[in-house]
Amino acid sequence: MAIPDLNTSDIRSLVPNSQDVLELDRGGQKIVFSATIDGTRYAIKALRANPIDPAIGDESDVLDDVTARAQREVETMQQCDTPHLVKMGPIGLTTGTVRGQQVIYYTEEFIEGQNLWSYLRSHGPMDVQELAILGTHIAQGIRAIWQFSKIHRDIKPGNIMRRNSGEFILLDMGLVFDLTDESLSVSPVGTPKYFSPEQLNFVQRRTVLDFRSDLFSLGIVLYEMSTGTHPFAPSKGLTTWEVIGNIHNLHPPAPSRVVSTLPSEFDRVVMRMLGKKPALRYRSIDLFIRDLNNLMGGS
Amino acid sequence: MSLLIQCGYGPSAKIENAISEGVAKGVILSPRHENPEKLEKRAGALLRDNPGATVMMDPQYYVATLPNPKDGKLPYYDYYARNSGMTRTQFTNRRIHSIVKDCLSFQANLEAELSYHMSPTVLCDDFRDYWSQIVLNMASEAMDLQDGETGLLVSLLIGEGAFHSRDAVEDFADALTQLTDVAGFYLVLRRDSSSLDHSPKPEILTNLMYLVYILSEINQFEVWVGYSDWCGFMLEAVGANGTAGGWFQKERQFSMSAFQPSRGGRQPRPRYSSIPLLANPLLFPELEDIIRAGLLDRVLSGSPFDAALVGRGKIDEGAWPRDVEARAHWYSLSTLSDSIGKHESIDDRLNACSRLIRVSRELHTQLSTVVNFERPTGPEHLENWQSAIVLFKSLTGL
Repeated sequence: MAIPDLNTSDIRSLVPNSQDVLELDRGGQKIVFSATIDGTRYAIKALRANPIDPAIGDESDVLDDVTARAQREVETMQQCDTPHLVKMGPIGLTTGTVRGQQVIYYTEEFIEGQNLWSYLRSHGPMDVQELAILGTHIAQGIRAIWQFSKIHRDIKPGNIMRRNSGEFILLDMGLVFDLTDESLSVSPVGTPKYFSPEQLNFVQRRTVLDFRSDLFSLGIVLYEMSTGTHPFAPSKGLTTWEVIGNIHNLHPPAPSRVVSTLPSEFDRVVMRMLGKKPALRYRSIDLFIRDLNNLMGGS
Repeated sequence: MSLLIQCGYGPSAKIENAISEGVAKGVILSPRHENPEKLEKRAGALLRDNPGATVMMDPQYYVATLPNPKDGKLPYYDYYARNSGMTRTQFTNRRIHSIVKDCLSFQANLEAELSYHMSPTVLCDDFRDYWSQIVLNMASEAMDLQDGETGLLVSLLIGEGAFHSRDAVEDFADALTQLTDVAGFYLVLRRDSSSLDHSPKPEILTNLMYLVYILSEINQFEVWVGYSDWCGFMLEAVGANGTAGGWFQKERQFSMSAFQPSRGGRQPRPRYSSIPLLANPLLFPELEDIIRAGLLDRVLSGSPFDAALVGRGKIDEGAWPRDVEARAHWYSLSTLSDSIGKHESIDDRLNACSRLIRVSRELHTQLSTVVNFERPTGPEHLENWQSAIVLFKSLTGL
């Protein structure tokens, strides 16, 4: 399913009170702009609401999924109250038509800063203090989502923003999965490089999928931000299947084996998050945050 | 780390004496052996006379699934009487709710305020079968129904066979650790053999240690292991808060045969609990042979009860009555537990266990020239323990 074919003029047409519209990003299914609305800068996300290529045929399932994701994202942003999850802007989920395309769009707060990908590229690996702050902030985001029996499912550096003030914000709740909603599919969505082992298991009856899956993904992010290396893709050119195999079977070296200045306490926290089974990680997010606080106090 | 007394038939004053002597830190009461009024009275008296003692009761609901069980006083308990003779298909959600509610209500309504409430359970012989789902449903129901003031221990009775598959252990641990609002677990290993045998096979013991480690050390639940007896110090080394042993073999090693009609038997022969041997040699002929060889000092545990054996040339059986044997045994288990508990890290505790086992093996070897130990006395169990520690360390990367 293609992203909608929109430009900045189209956004001004859809949101007449928007000013200074800029295109920010094009993803697999959505296009993101920034714009000033009533004096405040926001992000505007737009998705295609109907198929245009007759060759694709009946895309109703895909369409439903895209709509459902947008709804989940908006609903989650509205439900959760934490400074570490991106917030809704003034426009909720809205449909509109522009140049013959039916689109769904909504606004989010615009975050001044860098995502972790670009931060890592420009600043290199983080020190342990900043890693502990990163872990604590994103854990608070995970906890806010989990209060509604939901998990994020797509925690990765590209979905975490570092504000210029130093706070970390978790973005993109489009894949948030409500464990109580049987109507939503458990199919493998997200970014495989950051999947937990249980996210990859769709066969076994008693697979446990809860916040500990998000903690695993956050563990990968912390590993990567501390060493500059992905724990399960240590060399370039690995296929997705090879990375998935590593997620299941590889026990990566502790971060301090890669960056010797990292303390062993940090190793313990991250390696525990990367436990192959949920029971080997943290039973509660509070326990994880407590260990990070100790890390900040002790380093 | 705490040693609890696993109650059984004919407690007399053993429990009270052992707790007041500081040999044991508490008790796991047995409804099968006492009617509700007596159990309530005993719990009240223990708590009144020993502030700080840990007093709880194993509901022993697992007996309810046995055909024609030897269930003693259990039919006097409503939660059991209303729900006994159960087959697998009778465990509907509604029935589970009712069983769990009745069981927890009984404990909550006792005049004595128990240290923990314990959920009922059924035997789980395979972590992936239908019964295991019933076990988890009962645990989950108990979490929802607990009164919130007294900590809830989810009780689990797991057959040795379930511990063959490490994957299955981990999956089961995944499910157990979702029970976030419970104080912890009361775990019992159902042994395949009803004969005295201090150790399951190394891989079984390793996976049991691994489950205790996951629940306690990783997930910081309290873990109390019933019927652990001599194995208890190794389970405490990997994180168990407390272990338990009783006075008869049936309360030291859990076997379902204890709840089935008896095929007769004899009184157990008297034994001595030796910390240096990590075993209970028979008074006759094993300890007698050791005394004759002038090597008694090598096997003594150092308890005040040793006075009945020391300096007498030969053993006076009358000086070693059942209740002294039991208290001396608890002294040994408790001393062992304390010696392991003083080490801070799991690694140090396991190393301490290894040293004790190694020294004990050497002693068994040295004594083999003067005494023929029967199989239950060892040293085969020591080999199993040592192998289990090696396997556990390799598994956890410790």
